[in-house]
Amino acid sequence: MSWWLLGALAIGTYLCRWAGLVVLQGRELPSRLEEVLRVAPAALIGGLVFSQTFTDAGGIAVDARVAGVALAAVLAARGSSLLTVLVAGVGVVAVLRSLGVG
Amino acid sequence: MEEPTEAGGAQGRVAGLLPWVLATGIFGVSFGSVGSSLGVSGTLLVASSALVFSPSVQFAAVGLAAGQGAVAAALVTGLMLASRLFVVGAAISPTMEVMGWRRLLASQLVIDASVLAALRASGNMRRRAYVDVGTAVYVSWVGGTALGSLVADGVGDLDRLGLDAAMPSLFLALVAPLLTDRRGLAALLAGGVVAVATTPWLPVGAPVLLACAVGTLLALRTPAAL
Repeated sequence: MSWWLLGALAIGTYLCRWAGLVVLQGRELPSRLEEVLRVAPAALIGGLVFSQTFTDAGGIAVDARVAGVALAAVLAARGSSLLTVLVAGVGVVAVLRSLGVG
Repeated sequence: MEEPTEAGGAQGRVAGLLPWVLATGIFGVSFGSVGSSLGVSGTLLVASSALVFSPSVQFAAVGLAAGQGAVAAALVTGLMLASRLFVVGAAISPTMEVMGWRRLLASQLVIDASVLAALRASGNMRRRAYVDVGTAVYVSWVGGTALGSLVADGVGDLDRLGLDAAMPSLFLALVAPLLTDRRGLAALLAGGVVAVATTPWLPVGAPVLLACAVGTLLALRTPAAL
């Protein structure tokens, strides 16, 4: 990575953030668009979470992460705190790997 | 539900940020050490964490640019990954009235975690949740990167400790309270399936964008009642 690449990425990333934050400020939104904005983050997070759980190095992979994140999902659905969910998810994977699984 | 950041007390407010500091800090250490092992200088790594402030963009840039003549690929991939942040920012755009220089600073804190924290907070707590989580993640990401680049190869394989499960676990805990109807759940699951299924075929960054589009469209065609 060079300073040129860093500069270009910094500017590009910042502009994406800024544009998103200001695009709808102070506007009356049609209810349809409000609904889009309500579900879009869930779709995005679903994509991220599943990617981080079921893919590795550009391919589909099933390993110890699946067990950890599954437990995290159950705890999250039951309303456990962030710290509980984090420790449980990471802990399961660490224990499984120490046993030589995934 | 246990929710210290909304409880009001300063102690509870800080305690609520602990999971972010831990997870992001260690994640930052792994970025710093991976970057160093690829021969990127510590100054450059820390500057990228402070200025780009997006793990996926930075990992892609460091990994791809290490290859021969791959600066263009690193740039395109990085910007594709960054474009997700537009959607993330737009999700809180209608309810975040910030102007002038505050808006310039607030823009830098647009990340999944801060936006989800804001969305699940109510009314006037929203901005505080956003700034608290955004700042905690920022400081621990930059600090972790610095630490990781200093100790470099001494860190070893952090995945052994299960840390690759940290971010998905935290994101699930954050998004759960937002899934109040069948549509939210449909969006999450559809997005997840699309992202994984297309990963082997699409360039880095594209699967999650496609997941966002398809998941949103499918959710809107789903009856809302649970």
